[in-house]
Amino acid sequence: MKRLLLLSALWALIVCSMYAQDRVISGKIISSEDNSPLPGVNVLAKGTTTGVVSDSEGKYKLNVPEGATKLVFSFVGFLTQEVEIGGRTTIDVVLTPDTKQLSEVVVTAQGIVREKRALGYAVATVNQNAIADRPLADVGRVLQGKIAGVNITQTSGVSGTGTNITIRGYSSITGSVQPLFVVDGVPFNSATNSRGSFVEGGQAAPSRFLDIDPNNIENVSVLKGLAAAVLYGDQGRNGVILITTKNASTKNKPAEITLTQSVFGNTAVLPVYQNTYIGGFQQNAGYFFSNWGPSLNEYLRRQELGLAIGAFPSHPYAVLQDAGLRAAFADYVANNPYPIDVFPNNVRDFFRTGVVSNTSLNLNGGNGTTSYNVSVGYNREQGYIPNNDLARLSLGLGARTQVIKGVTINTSFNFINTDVKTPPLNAGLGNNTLNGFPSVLANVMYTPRNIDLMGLPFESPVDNRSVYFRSPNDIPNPRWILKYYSTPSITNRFFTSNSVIVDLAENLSVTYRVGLDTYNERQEAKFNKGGVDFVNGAYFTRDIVNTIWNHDIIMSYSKPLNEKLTLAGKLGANMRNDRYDEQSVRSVNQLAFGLMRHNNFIDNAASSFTQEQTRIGIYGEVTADYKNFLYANFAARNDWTSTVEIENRRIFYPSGSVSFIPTTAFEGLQSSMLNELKIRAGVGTSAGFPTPYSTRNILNQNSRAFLDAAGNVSQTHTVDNFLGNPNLKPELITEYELGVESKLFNNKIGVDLTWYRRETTNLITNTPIDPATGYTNTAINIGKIRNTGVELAVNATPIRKDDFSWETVFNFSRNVPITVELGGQLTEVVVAGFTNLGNFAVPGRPFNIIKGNAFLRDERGNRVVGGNGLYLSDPTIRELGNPNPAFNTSWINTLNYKGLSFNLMLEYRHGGALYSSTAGALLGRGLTKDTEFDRSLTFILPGVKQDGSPNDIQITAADYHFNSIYFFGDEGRIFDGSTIRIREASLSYNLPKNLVSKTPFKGVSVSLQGNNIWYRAINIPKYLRLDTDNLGLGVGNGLGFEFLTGPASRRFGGTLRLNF
Amino acid sequence: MLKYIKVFSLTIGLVLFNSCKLDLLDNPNAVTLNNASPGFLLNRIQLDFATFFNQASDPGMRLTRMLNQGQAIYANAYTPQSFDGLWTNAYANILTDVKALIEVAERSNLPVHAGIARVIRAYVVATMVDYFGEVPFSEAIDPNNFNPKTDSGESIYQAAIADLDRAIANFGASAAALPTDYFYRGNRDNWIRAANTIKLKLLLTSRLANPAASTAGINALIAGNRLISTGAQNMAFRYSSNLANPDSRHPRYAGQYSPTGGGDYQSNFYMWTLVESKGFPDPRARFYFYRQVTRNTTDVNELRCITNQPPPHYPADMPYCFGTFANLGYWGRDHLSNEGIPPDGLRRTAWGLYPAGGRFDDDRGQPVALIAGAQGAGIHPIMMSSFTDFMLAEAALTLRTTGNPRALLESAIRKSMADVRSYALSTIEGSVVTAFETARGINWDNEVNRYVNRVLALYDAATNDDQRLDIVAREYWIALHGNGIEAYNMYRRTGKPSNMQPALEANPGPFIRSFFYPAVFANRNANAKQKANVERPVFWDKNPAGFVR
Repeated sequence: MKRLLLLSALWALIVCSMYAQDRVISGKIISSEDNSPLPGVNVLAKGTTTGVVSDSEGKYKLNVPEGATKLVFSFVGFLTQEVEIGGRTTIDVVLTPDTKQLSEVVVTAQGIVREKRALGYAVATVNQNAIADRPLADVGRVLQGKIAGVNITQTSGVSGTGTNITIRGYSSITGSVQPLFVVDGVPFNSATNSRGSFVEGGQAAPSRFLDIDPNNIENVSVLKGLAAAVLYGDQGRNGVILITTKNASTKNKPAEITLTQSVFGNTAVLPVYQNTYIGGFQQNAGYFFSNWGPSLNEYLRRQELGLAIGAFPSHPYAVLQDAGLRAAFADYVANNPYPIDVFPNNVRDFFRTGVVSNTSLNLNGGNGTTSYNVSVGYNREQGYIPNNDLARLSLGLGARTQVIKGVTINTSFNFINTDVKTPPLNAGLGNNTLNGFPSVLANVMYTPRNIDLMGLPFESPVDNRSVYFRSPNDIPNPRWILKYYSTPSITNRFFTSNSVIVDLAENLSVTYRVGLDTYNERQEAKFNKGGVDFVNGAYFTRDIVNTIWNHDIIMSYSKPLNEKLTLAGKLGANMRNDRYDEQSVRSVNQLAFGLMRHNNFIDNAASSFTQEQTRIGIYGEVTADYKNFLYANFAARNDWTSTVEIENRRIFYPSGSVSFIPTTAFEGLQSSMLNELKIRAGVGTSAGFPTPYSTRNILNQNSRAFLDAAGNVSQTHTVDNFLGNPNLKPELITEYELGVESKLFNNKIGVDLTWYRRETTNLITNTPIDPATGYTNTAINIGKIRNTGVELAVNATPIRKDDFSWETVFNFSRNVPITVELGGQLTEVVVAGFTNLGNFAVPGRPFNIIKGNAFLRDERGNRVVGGNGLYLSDPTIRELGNPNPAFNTSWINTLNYKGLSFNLMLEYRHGGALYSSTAGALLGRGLTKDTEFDRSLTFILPGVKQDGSPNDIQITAADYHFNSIYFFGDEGRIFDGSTIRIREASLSYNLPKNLVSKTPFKGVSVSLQGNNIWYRAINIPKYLRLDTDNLGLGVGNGLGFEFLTGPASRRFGGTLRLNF
Repeated sequence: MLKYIKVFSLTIGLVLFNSCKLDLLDNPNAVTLNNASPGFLLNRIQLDFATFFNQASDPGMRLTRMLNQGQAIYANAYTPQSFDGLWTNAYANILTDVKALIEVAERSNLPVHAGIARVIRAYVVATMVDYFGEVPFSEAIDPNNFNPKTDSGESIYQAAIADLDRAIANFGASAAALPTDYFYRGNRDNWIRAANTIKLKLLLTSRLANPAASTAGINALIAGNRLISTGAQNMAFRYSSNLANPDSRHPRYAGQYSPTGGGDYQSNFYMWTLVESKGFPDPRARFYFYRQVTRNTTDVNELRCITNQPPPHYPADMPYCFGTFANLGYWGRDHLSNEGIPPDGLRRTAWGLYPAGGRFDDDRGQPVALIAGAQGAGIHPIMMSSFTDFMLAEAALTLRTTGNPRALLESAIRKSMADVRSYALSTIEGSVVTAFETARGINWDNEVNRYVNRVLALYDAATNDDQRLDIVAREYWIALHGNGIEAYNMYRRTGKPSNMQPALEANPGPFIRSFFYPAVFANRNANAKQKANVERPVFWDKNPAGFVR
C-alpha cells in the first residue's frame, strides 16, 4: 500500500510539474440567492487539470496555463458556469442554485456522488431536517415511515430495544434480511446481538445502529435495489443505508459552532380500564390473574348481606399458601376484614414519564485546503418504565485536507459509549412469562382492578423474596422485578474511516479507503434470588467483541469520447474481515442477596464463541452518458468468500440499468405541465453467503452433562444436529426494477414511481430436515422467494406565495412476498416463533403467514362447540393470517410562514395480521373498558354442536372470553393490523436575522416536537389502545406477533438550537 | 491509461494475496468428528435415552388415566407438533449417536459400549413403532437421503429383536474397557437380563400379530432364566439431587417442586383406584402421591368442579372431582379436563417420592418446595422385576406359556411393593418413611399381605380368563406408576384395565390408537404421509375399532 501511495504521489508531482504556468486570474464567487460568498467552489481552467477551490470568503486565485480560454465554476447544488477568460485577470462570478429537482445529486454506492437523473435505479434520500432533533435515540425509529419501500418496526416502546428494518421485503427465509449500514463510506455493524430467543429475553437487546447519533447525521441515502447496491457485494443484498455524518461532510467554510439542546417527555400509551368489575372468575371474587369477579357494588352488597364472597375479604397476603410468607406479613394476616376497593390507577402509576434529553455541540470550519468538524453528543433517554435508561456519549472528529495538489486525505474518528439499562423483557402470553425467563411487563397490563400494585409491599421483610397477590405467590411482583432484576448492556465503540484520494491524471483518480469498526458490548442479566423464575438467583454476563476491517481501493476514470458520449469507469477491490468473539459466564445459585459478582454464586459455567469470515471482491462499473438524455450503467462484482469450500468460493454477479429522459431527448415534449420525465429500468443481481462453518460437521461437547447420585460428573459428545453441507454454494438474488420519475406543473409536483420484482433462488436456507436422517437441519441451496412491490413517492408544493409555502410528501409502498417453492420435499418451514404458533413459509402462500391453533370447523366452515358450549380446537394448526401489510403510506406536510414552520406526518398501514397477547390477556381476563358489559348475562358462542345442530349452550362471560376466545387456541388473538397514526408533529421558529444580529449568535431556532402523537388500530377493540408497531419476536425475520413486551411510547418536547 | 490499470491491478493483487485469510472453514468452537470419544458418546446416548423415556412415557400415562390429560377431546390431545421433540431425540440424538458409537466401539474393541447402545436402540425403535406405527428405519440415519421411507412395524420389531441378540453377544465378549454405565455400573449379567426382558416385552406386545412366535420366544426366555427378576437387576435410570450446573433432577420433580408449585395434575381416577377402590389404601399410595393439603377444598375458586354434578354419561360408581373420596385432599383432575389453571399450585396433589424423588406423604399437608423430599433423586422405572412377572402372567393367561398366572401375579405385586419401598428407603427421604411408620405403628409386611390377599381373593373370584387378565392388568397398571409406555401398549393390546374413567366430554372422539406423525417428519419428508386421524392401530394391535375409549 505504501508503495502505491508513494507511486501515486510521485506521479501526481510529475503530472503537475509538466504544465508550464502562465497567467494568474483571481476573483470572488457569490451566490445569487443572498450574495453570500461561496467557499469550496471548484474553479477549473477548461481543457486542463489545473484548478483550485475557493476559500472561505469565496475568493480564488488560479494560475491558468497557456492555451486555456475558459474557466469552469462548479459547485454541488449550483448550476455549473463556463466563463470566457478573454483578457481579464479578475473574474467575479455569481452562481445560481440548481432548482431542478431531477438534477439533484445523490450519494450512491461507494460514496460516489451522481446526478439523480443519471441513475437507472431508485435511491431515496433523507436530509438532516427530517432526522435531527427528534425525541428518539434510535436512527432506525427516526426514519420510520419516511422512505417508501423501507419497512421499520420497533421491538417495543421500551427504550433501548431493537429495531427491525427490511427493504423491499425478504430476500431469505432464515438468513438475515437486515440492510447494510455504511457510515462515512465504510461498513458499520448494525447487528442486534440478541440475548437469546424471544422466550429467553431477546427483546431487550438493542440494534447496534443505536450507536449512531441521529443529530450527527448530515444525510441518509437508501439504496433499495440490487442494481444500486451491487458494488457492496453480498452485504448489499438487503439494501444499503448510507449515512454521512457531519464529521465526514466537512465543508470549507468559516468556523461555526452549533449547540442544540432538546428536552422531551416519554410516556407509555396505556389501555383504558373498566373499574366496575373486580378480580375473580365466574363472577366469584378471588385473587386470580383474571378480572372476572363481580362488580364492586355487587360484592359490597353481598358482603352486607353476609353471602358467600370467595377468598375476600382477606388481604391477599393473609391467604398466601406459603406459611413463611404469611408469617412475614403477620400484620396483613391480622388486618381482617380487608376493605375491597378498585384502584383505577394501579397500572398507570407503575409507569413514569421519562425525560429524554439531547445535547449536541458541533464545531466546523476550514480554509481553502483543510476543513474539520468536531462533534460531541450526549443523549439521555429515560424509558417509561422506571430503571429503563439509555445514555449515549458520542465524540467525533473529522478532517479533510489537501496534502499536496492532487492528494486529499479524508478522515473521521468516532467514539461512542452506549449504556442501556432495562429490566428484563420476555414474551408472555398473558399468564406469566414463557420458558422460565422473567419479564417486567409480563403481568402488569392485566393487573386486576382491585389489586393495589403500588400500595402493596413487594418484598418479604424477612428474606427479600418477591410477594404478590395470587395465593401460590406464583406471580413475580413487577415492582420487585424493577428493584432486583436488570438486564443492562454497555457498549464502547470505536469507528474510523480514512481515505486517500489521489488524482493521477486528468479524469483519473485512485481512492484508498480503510475502515475499522470495533466495539465491545457487555451484556449482563442480574437476577437476585427470591423471584419466581430464577428462584436461587442468576447472573449472566456476555462480553462481545466485534471487529470489521474493511479496505477498498477504487480507480475512477471518466472521459468524454466526443460531444455526445461520455464514458466513466471504475475498477475497485474490496477486502472485508468480520470477527465476532464472545465470552460468557452463566452463574446460578446466589449466596449473598444483592451482590452481583460471579464469585457470589455457587455454580458457574463459562463458554466461548468465535466466528470469523473474510470476503474479497473485485468490482467494476462503467457508466455512459449519451447527450444527457440516455444514461447506462453496468456494474459487476466478483467475490471470494471464506464461508464455503474452496471449489464453491467464487461468485460473479452483474447488474445493469438505464435511465432515459424523453423530455430532453425529444424537443417539444417538455412543457409547463410536463417539466421533466425520466424512465428507468434496471436489473441487478447479488450474492448471499452462508453463515460461517456451515459446510462441515461437528461434535457437540458438554463438560458437565450430568451429575449422578454418587457425585460423579459426566461429559458427553454428540453428533451435532446440524448437517454440514460441503456442497453449499453462495446464493444468487435477482431483481428487476422499473421506474418513472416526473416533474409536473412547473415543478410543483414530483412523482417517483417504482415497480420491482425480486427473486431469490437457490436460497441458502437453514433448512429443517426430517430428524430421521439423523440431523435436524442443514444449510442447503433450495427454495425461492419472490417479492413484488410498488413504491411511490410524490412531493408537491401546492402553495408557494411570498412568505407562505405548503410542501407535502406522500409515500406509498406495497410489497407482496410469496414463498414460491421450498425445494422438493418441504411443505413448510417455521420462520420464527413456536412450531405450533409462528411465522411459516409455505409454498404458494405469502411469506411469513401466521399459523397456529384454530377453532375446529365443520365442512361448511362453522365453528364447532363441545358439550360444555366452548369451542373445540382443530387438531392440526391452521393458517390464521397474513402479517404482511397490504400497503403502507405516509404523508408529510410542511407549512412555512416566514421563520415559522409546522410539520405534520401522518401514516396509514393497511392490513397485516397481528397476534396480540395484550389483546388476548386484557380481553380474555376482563380488564379494559371493552369488556364493561353486563357480565351476569349468558352468552352463546356462534357455531354448531358436534352433531351439526346450531349451538344453543349458554355459557358465562368468563367462559366466553377466557375459556374460549382469547385463551384456548390462538385464532381469537388474531387481529387486523390496519392503523392510522400521527407519527410526528412539530412547530419550529427561526428567529429573524435582524433580531439575531443583535445577539452574539448567528442563528437561533426553537421547536416543539411530538412523536407517535396519536394512533388507532381501527379493527382492534379501541380501549386496548394497542400499537401494531411491535415485534414480540424481536429483530429478525418474524412478523406480526405482540407478546406483552411493552406498550407504545409517546413523546413530546422542545429543542433550542444556537449557531455561533 | 493502460499503465495505470496494470499498476493498479498489480497492487490489488499484492494486497489481496497478502491478506488472503480465506481458510476459515473449520469451526473453532467445536470438536471435530475425528475426536469423538466412545465413552462420552455413550454417556450422551444414555442421558438422551432417559429423556426419551420421559417424553414417551408422558402421553402414555395421560391416555391411560395415570396422569391428567388436559384437552377436552382425543383429537386435540396430541397435535403433530406434540411429538417433534420425541422424534428429534430418537433419531437425531440417540440413533445417530448409536450409529457413530458402534462404528468406533467395534474398531476399538469396546463391545460393552456397543451392547448398551444396541439395547437402547432396540428399545427406542420399538417404542417408535408402538407410538406411530410405520416409521423410517432401514433408510434412516443417512445424511445422503433426506427422505427416508418408512418400514413396516413388524420388520422393525424383528430388527430390534436381532439388535438385542447382538447386544447379548456383545456383553459376552471380552472388552478393552468398560463404559460409565448409569444403569448397572458395568454389570454384564444385568445387561443380558435387561436385553432378554426387553425382548420379552417385544414378544408379548406383538403377541396378537404373531402368537406362535411370541409363545415360542417367551417360553425360550423363561427356559433361559435370564430375565430381570430381582430388584438389583431393575433397569432404572437414577437421577440425583443436583439442582444446577447441571440440573440432574428427575424432570417430574423439577417441574413441580418449586416455591410456587404447579406442574402436573395427577389423575383422579388413578388416585381413587389406589386409595379407595379396594376399601383400604394401597401401601404404595403414600409413595406415589404427595398431598399438599390433606383436606378437600371448599373454595370454588380453587376447584370449580366441587359445585358441579358429575356428567350424565358417568356411571354411578365412577369417581368425579373429589368424588367418592373421603375428605383426604387427593386433588387431581378428571380424564380430559381442559379447565384453566386456578391458583392451586400449592394445593393440587404432587408427584410423590416414587418415582420422581419428591416427598413421602406423611400427612404433613405442607406445600412443595424447591428442595424437599428426596430432592429430585428419582428414577425412571424402565424395566423393573415386577414388570417381568406381570408380563409373564399375561403371557401365561393368554398364550399359555410356562408358569402359573396366579403365582406370577402375587410375586409381581410383592416385587412392586418391594421395589417402591427399597427405592424409598435408599433415598434421603427414607428416614421420614420409617419415622412415619413407627409413629403410626404401621407394619409394612402386614400392609402388603393385606393388599396381596385382597387382590388374590379378587383373582380367585374371577370366573374367566378375561376377568383374570383384567385383574393382572389393573395391578400391572398400578405398578407401572412413572412408566406410561407399557401402560399405553397394554391398554391397546388387552383393553385392560377395564371401566376406566370416561372423558368429561360425552363425545371425546375415538381413542388414540397411534399418534399423528410428528410435524418434523410429515412436513419435511417427501415420503411421509400424515394420518387422517388417530384411529389407525399399529401392526400388533389387532383389536377392532372402538376397542378402547
